[in-house]
Amino acid sequence: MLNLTPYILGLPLLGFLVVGLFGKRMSKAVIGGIACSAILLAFLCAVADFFSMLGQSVANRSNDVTLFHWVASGTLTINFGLLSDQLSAVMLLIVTGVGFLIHVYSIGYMGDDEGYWRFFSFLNLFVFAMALLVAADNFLFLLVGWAGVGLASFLLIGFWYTRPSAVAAARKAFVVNVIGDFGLMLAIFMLFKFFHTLDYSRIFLGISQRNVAPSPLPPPSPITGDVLTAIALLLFVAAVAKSAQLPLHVWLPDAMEGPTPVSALIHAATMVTAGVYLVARAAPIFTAAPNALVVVGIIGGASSLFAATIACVQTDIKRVLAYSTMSQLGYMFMGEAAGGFSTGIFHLTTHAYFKALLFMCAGAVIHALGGEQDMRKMGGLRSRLPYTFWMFVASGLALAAIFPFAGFWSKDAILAAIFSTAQAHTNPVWWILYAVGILTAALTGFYTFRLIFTVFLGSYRGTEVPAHGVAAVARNGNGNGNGSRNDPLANVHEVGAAMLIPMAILAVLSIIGGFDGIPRHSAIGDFLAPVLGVSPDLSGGLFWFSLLLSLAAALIGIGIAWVRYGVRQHTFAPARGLVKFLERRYYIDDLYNAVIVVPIVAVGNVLRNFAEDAALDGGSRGVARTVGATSRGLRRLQTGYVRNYALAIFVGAALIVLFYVIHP
Amino acid sequence: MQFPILSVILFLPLAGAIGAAALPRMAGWGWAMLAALADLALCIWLIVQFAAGVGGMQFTESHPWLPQIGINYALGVDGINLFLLGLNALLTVVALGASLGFVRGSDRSREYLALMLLLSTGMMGVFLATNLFLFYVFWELMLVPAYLLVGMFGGPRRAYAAIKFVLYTAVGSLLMLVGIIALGAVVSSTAHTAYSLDLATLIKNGATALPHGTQIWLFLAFAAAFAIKSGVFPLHSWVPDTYSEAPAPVVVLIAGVMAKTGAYGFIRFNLALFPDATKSLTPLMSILAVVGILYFALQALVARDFKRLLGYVSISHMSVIILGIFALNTQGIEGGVLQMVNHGIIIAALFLIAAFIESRTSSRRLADFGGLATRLPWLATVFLIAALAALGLPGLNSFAGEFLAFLGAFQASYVFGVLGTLVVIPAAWYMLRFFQGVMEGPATGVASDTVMETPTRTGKRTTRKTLRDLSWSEFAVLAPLLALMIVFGVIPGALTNRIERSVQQLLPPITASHTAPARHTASGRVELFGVHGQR
Repeated sequence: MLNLTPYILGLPLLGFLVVGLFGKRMSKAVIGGIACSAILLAFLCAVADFFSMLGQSVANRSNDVTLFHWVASGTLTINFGLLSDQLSAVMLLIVTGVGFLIHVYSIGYMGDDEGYWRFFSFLNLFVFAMALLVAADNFLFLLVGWAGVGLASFLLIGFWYTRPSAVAAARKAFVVNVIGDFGLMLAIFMLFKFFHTLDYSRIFLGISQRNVAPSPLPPPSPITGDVLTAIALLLFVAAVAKSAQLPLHVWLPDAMEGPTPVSALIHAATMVTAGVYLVARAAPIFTAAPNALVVVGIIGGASSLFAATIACVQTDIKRVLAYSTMSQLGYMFMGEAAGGFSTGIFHLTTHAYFKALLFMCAGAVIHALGGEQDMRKMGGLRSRLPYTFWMFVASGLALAAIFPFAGFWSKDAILAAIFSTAQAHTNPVWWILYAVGILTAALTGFYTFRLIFTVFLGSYRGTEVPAHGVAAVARNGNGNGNGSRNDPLANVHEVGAAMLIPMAILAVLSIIGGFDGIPRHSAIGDFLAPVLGVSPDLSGGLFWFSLLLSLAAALIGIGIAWVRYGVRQHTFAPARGLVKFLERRYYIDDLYNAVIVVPIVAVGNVLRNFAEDAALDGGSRGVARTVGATSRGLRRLQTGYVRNYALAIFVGAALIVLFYVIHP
Repeated sequence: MQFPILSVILFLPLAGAIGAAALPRMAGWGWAMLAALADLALCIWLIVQFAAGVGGMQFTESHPWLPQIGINYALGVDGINLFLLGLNALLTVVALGASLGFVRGSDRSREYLALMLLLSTGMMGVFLATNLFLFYVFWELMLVPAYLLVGMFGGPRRAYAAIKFVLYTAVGSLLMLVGIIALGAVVSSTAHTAYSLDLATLIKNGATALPHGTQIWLFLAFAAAFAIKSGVFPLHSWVPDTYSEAPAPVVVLIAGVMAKTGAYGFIRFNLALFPDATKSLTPLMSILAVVGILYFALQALVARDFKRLLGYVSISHMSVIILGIFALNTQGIEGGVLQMVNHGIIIAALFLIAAFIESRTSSRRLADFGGLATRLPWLATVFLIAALAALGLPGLNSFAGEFLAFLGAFQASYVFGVLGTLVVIPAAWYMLRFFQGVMEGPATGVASDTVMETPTRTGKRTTRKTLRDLSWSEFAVLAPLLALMIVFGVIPGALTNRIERSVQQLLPPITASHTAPARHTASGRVELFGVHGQR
């Protein structure tokens, strides 16, 4: 079997190094060319690997290569190995494929930015780190990729590093992600303690062989269900941080500070999908720890509903999409929790298509409006941005899970898996999660089309848009838009081909991208089954019931959006009451700040002033002072006068005599 | 006779010191640099020649000095000190390279260069000596030049810092001297042998089998010196003062190498000589290490002066090394040794970068800074790499050492392992606070003053210096450190395979120790504070 995985990693890494080291002196065309072709070649390698894998029998589809030895210490041996199997093949296709389209889009979007070379080198680094994350064959190099993704997101979120808000957002993203790294490190320590290895294959073998550690050394205590639950939950801590689930979601909305292509990359191809991937990769561990799966389901369900409610009231175009990502990731975790690991990955793929496109469309709108992101200042853009409008609708229908768009099939597969698990278990939590899934489907329809109607329908509510960029000026010079002072949108134009072509490809994928997962004929489900198991599914009447129920919910949501925002111009009143509560994101950011950040800094300051400066520093000075004072005092005794010494001798002798008189 | 390579490595810096003291300014620097480079080359040759799978000391040298009282000139190298020699040689070169500007403009360059190289020889001797008295001689020898360097060439509060440094370290050294003499006496009287202070002879004569109570006292006497040197909580108060007042090249040697002599001493003497005491005092050492790790991280988080910040960063990381060592298993100790090397590389780079920033802006108050990256993009880039290495980014060198140390700590005890590992979160926070606070955001303070400044047409001289980016000579000093951050992050196995055998030889006496109150667990129960015999 063909295995080009080293090249899939190596090419983006090479692109990062070349552009990063020499990009400053390169022309923009060369930079864009190097960065895009690195990812394109990596994508072609992934495609070649994929088809080569399809040509193999199911038993031979897994291939592991060891590239070099990283470290050995005692019984610990860690190699840098790359695993090519069905799961990593799907992930690599998404990461490099969608990643490539975002690269091309960035050529247009970032064309005027002076940090062009920095931007493309960071983008390549991002793809490299994500590819490493999904291709590693052991948990340690998963962690290396995991942290590399965190680094790349830090660099890109804080790309415009002179903006205080971007700097703060980058730091927040990094530190919250390090909380996840902490969880992953502890999970790794636990795995080593009980399995004496960090390789996926040997750990999963150990679990399947029921408490037999695949090592000459016995584990310190039997690998019980509790141990596996602890490991699974620690892995999930990492997944929660990376995939922005409750309660570690706070970084994701702020990550909007990065340029819009970065948002597309973070939300679609790289970064947030890593958590979903991790749970799928560790499926044997989670399957053996059913209690942990219930936690995964509850967190996923809570996050999906929580984020959807916030998305309904946000007024920043990118923030709506950010919360929708969090909500959709919640769906993926719910699907995985219900045992449908492949449904989670399936939804990950369709979500990558339509969410990348949504962000690109949003970027096109922002680009056209000269940086404006506030939906309240938009409206009526449909005639100005016709292609963007229709592609926004296509991706919006996919997000709202309307038949036959991509998101419909994958969301339905998840809901079916939850329904089926609810039937099989006595635990009522699965029924609640199913209800949450349906309710969130309605909210998704609502907020998606609230966004579309507000931005594209009605009339324009903003101020005049200044011409921006060389292209816009040139067009105006041609007399095309020299116009009317009455038209504030005179300078608004559809984006260029470099941005439209990748958008069009993703639009096609948003429409047809779910056909590989049609219920009961799910090609992707069958392909992934050897790694992830068969997802629970519904049959007969229940299947149709669930399908129609979720579709109806989404349509109701869209209908409400139409009534409130579509048929007539909506006026945005200042938020009050519940809306205010939602708009302030349940006050969670403020809560964390008040309960965690401020107290830590305060304690640190108090300790500096009292423990460091007063007690320790003062203490050591105090010792010095005491020694000095004592010796000065003692010096005073040595007066040199014989009479004083005589007196001292006399007193001493008297005391000795007195002692013996009292104590005969 | 075999070529005495260890003696040559040991005394080459001394030869450099003598030459530097005799020669005029730049010639002296050239001579010193030549000696340091030759020493580095010899250390690299030694690392290549070192037999990885062999236990015990290699390239040993031993000559009687005062044999009547057990004092010999005895040197040796094994997996534990091998890379520390290389680190010392490398950082001596780096420190001399970073001193070039100072030497050019100073009247006291001879003293300065001679003292730097004398310090280097002293630290070489500390790492190489296998006789306890010889060790003590070099231990004191390294103290004197360090004191003079801080006191003569430091910042405005140099006198205070130097006195504090000397008082702290002298107290520790004296306790250790008492311990050394007592150990020799106790062993010779117990075993009825001649008085000897050779490490190997002491172990052969049953030093490791001394009564538990005696071991405890001796352990504590040695530990006092080592804990102070490596800045173990709460004996660290000298560290922020010394590190922030000493000139940067001196801090490179003090924080980069000298701090390691403490951690090294714990392994070489406490663990090797007092296994029973080690086992029973492990909880104490682990608690101090964990408290230090988190407490220093918190202090780094609120520090207002970035050199003090780096001082706390340094001792927080040193405490990770101590935690790894007292995990008492292969991964922990090996991680500790590996991390000594990695930490030396990183902290040296960070202090140099801090000095580069200070020399351009005449400030080290964090509040004065913001947005320097627009003015100094290359300095910002190297700073970012060093900062990422310092916060333990997987793929860079510090991660490998910290990972092994934490892994070892976790195998030994869940509580210490989890609490120690927790530091990765504040570490990310304080490093980014430092990096972003100086480099990113809108150009304020020192950066904005310079941005606003425009050359006047009259040619009137402005008081502010224009900020210039990293110069080639500055980059040349940092380049080897940056390269090693990446290389040792990608292939840490190249180091651990030479460290491993020596670490594994340390462990059997400790794990076999029965004197300490054993904490056997019922099968299936997970023990919380106990130490597993697992390797």
